[in-house]
Amino acid sequence: MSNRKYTEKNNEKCEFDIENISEAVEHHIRHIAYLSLRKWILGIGLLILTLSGIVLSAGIGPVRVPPTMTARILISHIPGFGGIWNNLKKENSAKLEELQDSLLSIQNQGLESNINAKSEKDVDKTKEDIFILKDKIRDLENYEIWVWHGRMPRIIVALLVGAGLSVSGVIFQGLVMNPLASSGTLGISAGSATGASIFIVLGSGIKAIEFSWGIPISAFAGGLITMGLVWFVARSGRGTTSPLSLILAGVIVGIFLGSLMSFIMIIAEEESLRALTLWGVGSLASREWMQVKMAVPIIIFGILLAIINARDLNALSLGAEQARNLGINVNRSRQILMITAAVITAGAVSVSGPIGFVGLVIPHSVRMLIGPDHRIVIPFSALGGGIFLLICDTVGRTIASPLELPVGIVTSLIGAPFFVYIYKTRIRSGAVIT
Amino acid sequence: MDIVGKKIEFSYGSNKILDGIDFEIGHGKFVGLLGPNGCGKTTLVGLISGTHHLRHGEITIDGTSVRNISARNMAKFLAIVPQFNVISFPFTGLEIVMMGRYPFKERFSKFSDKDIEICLKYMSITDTLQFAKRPVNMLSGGERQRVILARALAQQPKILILDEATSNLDIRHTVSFLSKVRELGIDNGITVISAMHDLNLASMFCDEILMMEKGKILASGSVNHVLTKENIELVYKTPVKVKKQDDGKISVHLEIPN
Repeated sequence: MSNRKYTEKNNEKCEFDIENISEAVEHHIRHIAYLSLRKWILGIGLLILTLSGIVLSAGIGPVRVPPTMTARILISHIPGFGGIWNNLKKENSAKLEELQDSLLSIQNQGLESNINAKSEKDVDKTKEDIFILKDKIRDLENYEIWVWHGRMPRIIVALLVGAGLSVSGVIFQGLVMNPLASSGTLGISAGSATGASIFIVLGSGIKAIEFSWGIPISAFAGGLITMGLVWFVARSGRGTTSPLSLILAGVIVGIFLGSLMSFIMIIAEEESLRALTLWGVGSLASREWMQVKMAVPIIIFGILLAIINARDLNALSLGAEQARNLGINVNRSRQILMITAAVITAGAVSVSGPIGFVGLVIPHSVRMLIGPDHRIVIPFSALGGGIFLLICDTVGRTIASPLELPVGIVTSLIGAPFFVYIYKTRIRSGAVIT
Repeated sequence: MDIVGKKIEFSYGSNKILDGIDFEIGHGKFVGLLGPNGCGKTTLVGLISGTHHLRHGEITIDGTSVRNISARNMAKFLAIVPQFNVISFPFTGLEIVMMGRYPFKERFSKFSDKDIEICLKYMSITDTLQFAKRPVNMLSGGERQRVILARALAQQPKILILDEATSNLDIRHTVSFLSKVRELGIDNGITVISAMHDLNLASMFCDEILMMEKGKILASGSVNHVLTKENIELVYKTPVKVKKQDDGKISVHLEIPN
């Protein structure tokens, strides 16, 4: 009892202002509602940006396709909407038939009642119309080939790889509690690159590039094996892996793989050396539906898994001890997230080669925009990373056309100054994260 | 909730940290855990909370072994404020405190207005309402510690473990926080275990004290029974004067060793 009395006496002196709490509660409920509305608006905006980015990018290139046409072609590939494009084609061929019929009848008339000036003019006019229409039909066919078979696979790969690299960046940063980590820090992209390189060199006899599944599969395997290796090195005797040991193991394994790559390049023959260099900078050139089929399930599955575990990542980003105290099964959650990020990275790198800066710039920008809650950061990074890489790739393939800049070069050229810019603004605003 | 520990041993590699610890902490008690640096206080509370894996010996909470309590279930009744906290990401104060509601919420369920009210109430108790919208990585160490304290309270625990939780706070916030915790503890039957260094604070707030030295419990029991000149000088190797005050509480005065 004496203790209690003490407390009461003490409270008179040190009580904090609990009077205003209902006001504060109301204020924060309103503020949280505002923040959530803001997130929805930003999210929908990003979605619209992505969709219009797809349409525009599919129309830009050596053969320009008007956006209305691109949109029609793309929509026509959604099941049930095929009519929107096919009807246009049908309309045109019907018109062509009609014109050809009328040409025939005019010519027949002309034959019957001798050629006069008027019908001759009609014949010429109709012939010209037919010529224009045929041209138009050929254009439409070309459009479809360019948009759907030429550019669309590449666009989808760009969106997926950008989304994948950003999300894996977010996961790695949360796991090692360091906003500067990425799939590069933990050596996993180096592992994928090594896997692909080994295949290119060993397979050069059978023309590695032509066996199209070879590089993606070996890169994917290389990434996963490297993750296992990093995990094994980082594991302490008691079966736990601390963030610091993960970074250390990642750096060590990464340096080792870097040397291995140099060694491979030295012993490689002229022909495979060119393939190695091209693959090593990260490029999305001549991607086909095959790569899309490989990347789609892996990366989408990974991102969904990441979203499911986003709340655990929030807690883990405060460290193992705090996470455990918030009810997280630390070792299991870490393993799930680590494997998720590694699978996404390997999936992305296997179809694009190592592309830098995406996993760093996008998560940073997203956190600046909507805060660090991973439940929001992960879907936003997926969208933002996708559109960022799509823009970079579109710029890369059009800016110096017919020469093509590999997307890896463009992301670094755009990404590095952009990163410096946001970092400097953050320092000025005092919200720098270290 | 009652916490009982029996024959607890723990080592880091070949380094023995805890060497046969037995203790009993009764329901609703405010227990101080005292002892010099490196005597195993943090390890002991880590074993109780499940942060460390218990290998040898047994700890039970209301009769259930801590080995059989999942992290999620543990977080529903036990909160711990760690000695150190690192927050690298710009979560706002309110976001951090809301994490204290995670154990009670499913992965995707939204926070209710009630949750927000609970969080703000405890933020007001630790005087952190003004940090609700500010990124915590920009706060000072003590301010951040108070946010973490609010989060622990927002878990509305039945057992609250403070691991030198007030070591970064100024005296106003220290005294205010501990007395608030005491009051909440008495009202709601919360068992509090507080590892601490300040003997006077321990004497002011604790019902009982466990005094540790080199991985063993040296003395346990009521404050006046444990905080004797002999015990303190034996454990801390520092000369002190122990005085009894008017309200029956003990105050400890340091003396400069000759």
